Amino acid sequence: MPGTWFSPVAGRGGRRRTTLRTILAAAGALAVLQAPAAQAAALHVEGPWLRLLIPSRPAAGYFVLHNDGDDAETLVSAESPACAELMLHRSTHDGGQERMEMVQNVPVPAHGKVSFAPGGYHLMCMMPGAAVRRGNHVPVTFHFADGAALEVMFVVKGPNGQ
Amino acid sequence: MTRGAGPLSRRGVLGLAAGAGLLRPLCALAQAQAQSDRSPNIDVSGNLPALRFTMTRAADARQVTAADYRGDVVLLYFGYTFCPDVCPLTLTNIDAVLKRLGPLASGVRVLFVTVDPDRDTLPVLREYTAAFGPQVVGLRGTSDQLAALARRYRVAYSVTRVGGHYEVTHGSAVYVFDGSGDARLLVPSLATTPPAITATAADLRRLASTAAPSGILSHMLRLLEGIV
Repeated sequence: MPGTWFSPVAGRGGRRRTTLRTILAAAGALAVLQAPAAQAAALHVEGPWLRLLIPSRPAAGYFVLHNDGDDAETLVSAESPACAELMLHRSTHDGGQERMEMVQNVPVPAHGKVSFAPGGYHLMCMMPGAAVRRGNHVPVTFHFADGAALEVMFVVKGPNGQ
Repeated sequence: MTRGAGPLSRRGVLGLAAGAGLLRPLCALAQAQAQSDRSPNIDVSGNLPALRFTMTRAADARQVTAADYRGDVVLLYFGYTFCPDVCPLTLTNIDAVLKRLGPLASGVRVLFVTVDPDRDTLPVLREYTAAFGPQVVGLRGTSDQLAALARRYRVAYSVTRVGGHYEVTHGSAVYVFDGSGDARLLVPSLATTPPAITATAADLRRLASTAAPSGILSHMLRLLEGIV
């Protein structure tokens, strides 16, 4: 069989062509997978922490996400084994009213940053698990629109951020 | 000892000019500082009704009214326990304000009224408020009791269930009452960046130090404050 994979044989070559297609597809997929990994290196997170209030209520997550790369990135989701669900949220203040909304994605400009800080963007850790204890570190994985992923350890702090 | 009544010497004038050169940026700096320290809080004395409510206190499941807090400076804030961002931010900043008051803080109570009484049971509300210190009192009313208090201070709130998620809105303001239960100050928000900690502490210090007197004395004090 070696050497025959790439020969353009007609007729019974259907199976060979399929093999070739599979290899090309795999190579393509590999390239796609590798690109985001390289871009993820341009992304880094500063000062990640979770505000634990009481175990039965959501904990908010804060950090600054830097993008040192030449391409804009879009944060689309986050997950953590320590949270039943981890959502992207934003508090907004309008005419004396406070509102909290879920956001689908958060753009991170090239050579820029986005702050998740009290009173604005924040992560919402639903049903924080036993690992979310003050002083503990819990992993959070960020997912980006291009398929890149970034894992960061968050330190758990108390209600007043200490 | 009365020097300088006469005309200024040449050196004096030069000194003044040099001083002015230095003074001008300093003045601008002080002005900018004053600008940032200027209180965003609103004096509502006489414009909002006195504190009145009936609710259940989370700490001991007892029914309480405004009379239970006579003699204390009261900070009234509306929130809910599924609020992991703005409510803790506001309560933490209130705590920072109280720390600046020193011993006067012992005469201040923070009433945290839940706008989400369906989900905020007394035990949860007790645990949540206790996390922010002993001066924070969790209050839960029936929907009528909550509506009455909110209406009194024109506070809007809503709890909407959208699919599996809740959306809650609530007023950002903190209402401040003196020891007689009279409305004195409206703090538009303590969830701003930066929060007006210094200015609010100064406002509260004025209130807390005159909180104790009641009746004719406090009335006279208020009149005096109005004149000054």
